[in-house]
Amino acid sequence: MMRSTGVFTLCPRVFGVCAALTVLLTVSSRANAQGALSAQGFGYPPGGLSARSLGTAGATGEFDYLSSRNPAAASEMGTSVLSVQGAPEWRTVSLGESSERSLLQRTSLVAAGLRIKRVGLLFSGTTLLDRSFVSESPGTAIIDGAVVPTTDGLEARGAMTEMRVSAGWTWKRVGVGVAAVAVTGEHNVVRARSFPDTLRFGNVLDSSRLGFQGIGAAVGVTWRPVNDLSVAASYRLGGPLDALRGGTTLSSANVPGRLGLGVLYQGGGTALALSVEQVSWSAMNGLGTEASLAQDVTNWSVGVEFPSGTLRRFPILWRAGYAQRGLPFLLGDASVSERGINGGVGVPLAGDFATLDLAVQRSQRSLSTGDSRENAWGLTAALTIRP
Amino acid sequence: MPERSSLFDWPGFRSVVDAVRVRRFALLACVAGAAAMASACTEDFEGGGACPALCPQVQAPFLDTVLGAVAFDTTVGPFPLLGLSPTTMLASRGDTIETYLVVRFDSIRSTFLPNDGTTTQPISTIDSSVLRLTIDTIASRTPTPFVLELFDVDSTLSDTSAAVMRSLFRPDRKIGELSVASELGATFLDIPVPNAYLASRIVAGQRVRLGVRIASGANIDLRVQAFTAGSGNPRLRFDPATDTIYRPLEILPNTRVPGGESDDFLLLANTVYALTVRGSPPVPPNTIAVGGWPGRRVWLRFEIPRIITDSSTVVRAELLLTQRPSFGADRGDSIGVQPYLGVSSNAVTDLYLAAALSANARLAGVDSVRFVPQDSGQRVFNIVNVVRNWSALDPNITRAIVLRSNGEGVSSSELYFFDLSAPADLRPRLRVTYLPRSEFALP
Repeated sequence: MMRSTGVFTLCPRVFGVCAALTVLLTVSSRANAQGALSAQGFGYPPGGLSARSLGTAGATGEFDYLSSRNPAAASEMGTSVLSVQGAPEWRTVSLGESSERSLLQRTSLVAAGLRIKRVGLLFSGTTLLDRSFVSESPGTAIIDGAVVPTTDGLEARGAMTEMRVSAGWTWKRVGVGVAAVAVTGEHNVVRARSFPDTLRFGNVLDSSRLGFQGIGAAVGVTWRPVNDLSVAASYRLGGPLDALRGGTTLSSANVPGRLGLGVLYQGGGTALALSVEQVSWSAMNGLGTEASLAQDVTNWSVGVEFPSGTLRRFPILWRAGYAQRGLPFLLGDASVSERGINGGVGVPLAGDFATLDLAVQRSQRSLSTGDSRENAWGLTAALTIRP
Repeated sequence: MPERSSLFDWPGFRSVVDAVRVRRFALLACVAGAAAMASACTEDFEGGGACPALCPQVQAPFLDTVLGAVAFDTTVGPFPLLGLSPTTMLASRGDTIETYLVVRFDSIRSTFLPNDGTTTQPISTIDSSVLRLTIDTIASRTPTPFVLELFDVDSTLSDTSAAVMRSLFRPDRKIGELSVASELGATFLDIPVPNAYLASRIVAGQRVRLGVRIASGANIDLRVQAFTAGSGNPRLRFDPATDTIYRPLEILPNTRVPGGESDDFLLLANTVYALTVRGSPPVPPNTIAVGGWPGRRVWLRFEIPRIITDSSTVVRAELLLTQRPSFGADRGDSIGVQPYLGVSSNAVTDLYLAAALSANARLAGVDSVRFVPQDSGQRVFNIVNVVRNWSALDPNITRAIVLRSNGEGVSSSELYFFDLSAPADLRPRLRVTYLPRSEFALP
């Protein structure tokens, strides 16, 4: 029986694919983008979703123990789990008649969990805000009253990561969970300005590194009032969040709070889900400069997951979803919204032992003023092993 | 798995899905995912047109300022010491500059090998003796015909005294001369040396020290090669016998300095050198001087606020000097000034030594600038690469710049600049454009 052989004795072909993906997913992230709607402020919030939830555009996130949303979902975990997830994104930014393409890659989720009696414990790290971009543009400088052309560059590589320790347990039809939240990470930013007249002027090349640390807590509940219907709610309480350089606190704000609600209908192996959340990104105001203003957003998504076909007698799960949400950081006075159509598949590489989840996201982001838009294709691949 | 009804379980959909060989499709999906992830690791960047409209940060403005950053200035010299220059100047410029040339042959061979044989013979009679000087015909100035006079300047008197040496250029010591046309026909000049004089010295084993000067009345400036690695050195050339079938012998300059036998620089400085009879006038008040004869250098010590050197990025740094006219020789010909970097520590208080230890700033990308001595006005030296590197320099190294003439040792052209004692707007200053370091990582 495959169940008793363990992951390291899988058939060579499947194991080879798993190994290749594992290597690919665990390489350090590289990013390359430029001025983009989604790169404002402290960056883009991937949402803390697993590839499985991303397949439904986040609609099942409140019920997914790998996603950093509802700690009560940890009670649904089996004996143990290990998951790593990578997510490249191809992005095209349009501004007027010009457009730019870029590519960035994130390792957006790493999680490990185990069950101790009736309590599921999950340690996870997800990207709260990804700030990775490279921008290069023509500029000018005023030197001695004269306008001098320059080439201005700014490169940021970094992210804030939400680390969670979640504990969830189930009592009859009710699951409850709590999580301790820590926000950490750093931003490495390089600023460059160069002059065409290299004999007269020296170039500017400065670098700066910021660190972040913050804490918070989350609680969640799931309830199954009837057999095919579940509802869930979660709340993240944001604690203090500091921006640091060396040992010095440069600025302080709070980890954004979050309130999420979800409904899941499961019938005949098919799951229909609806999720709504409100994220208080404005709690981060004050952490950055005045130009980095965050707004509270309300996001919602609907999605479906259904089985179709089998691999070694285990069902292949197909997913689709639609989401609409707001991005946290304003561009000037204008807000940025995002619509996404997602699809995905969950492939049981080795029955219940190993699963490959793939999700494809097609996102359209637009500025409230209509001046600019951004289209992105995202591919999320996650390898989950349940030893 | 128990069979349960599905919203997507209608017959048409099932028939399509069942037509696919699901197992192979799943593996294909894995491979496709791997390929997509691999391709994601290649970088792709185009354009920049969305900036600055969408770029998250606004660049901070540069700051301009003119600083009285020169804390100390002075003129130091003479440079080079005696003959420590590959080329030297033999000049007669009327009332301005006059120099003589001294060439020492303290050791002369007394034997030769006839017809390249193996048996040496003593030199007893010689023929066709000349002192050959190699001339830089392009840099030399010979507007009129002139006469080179040759003197025997060997003496038992103190040969380190310039006054004593000058006194040896007198008529009773003159041993030859050469008339030269205004257009130099060759790169070398052969000044005849009396055969009997040279032969007697060789036979007696005595040293030969020759002095050359330009006869009075001419306005001539010759650039003479003093020492090179090749064949340009001054030399004594003669036939070691009256029989002309023998190949001429050549004796290269050499000297002995009592107590300095192991000091190569001292020996080199005294082998071939220019003796100053009339040099550049003293530096006027409120003035620093570059060039002239003997050569002068300007030593400038800087004190720049640390907020600029340590906490800013300097993008422009220009040394501003106000030139005042100099009316020496060649006042209308431009001359290059090359900034050098002070590399000595603060413990070196001898500014002549500190200036001698300076390093060419061309290594840091600082080029020379040409000026005309008789001109005046504000002059600019771009020293941005120097100032930018000062922040990384050991704090014990003096932040100094030495201005040196490109014609040092071979030209008497001189540039004057106002010094720190001049009125404020004429003093040496530093114009700096910088970008203070700020916290730009915070968006």
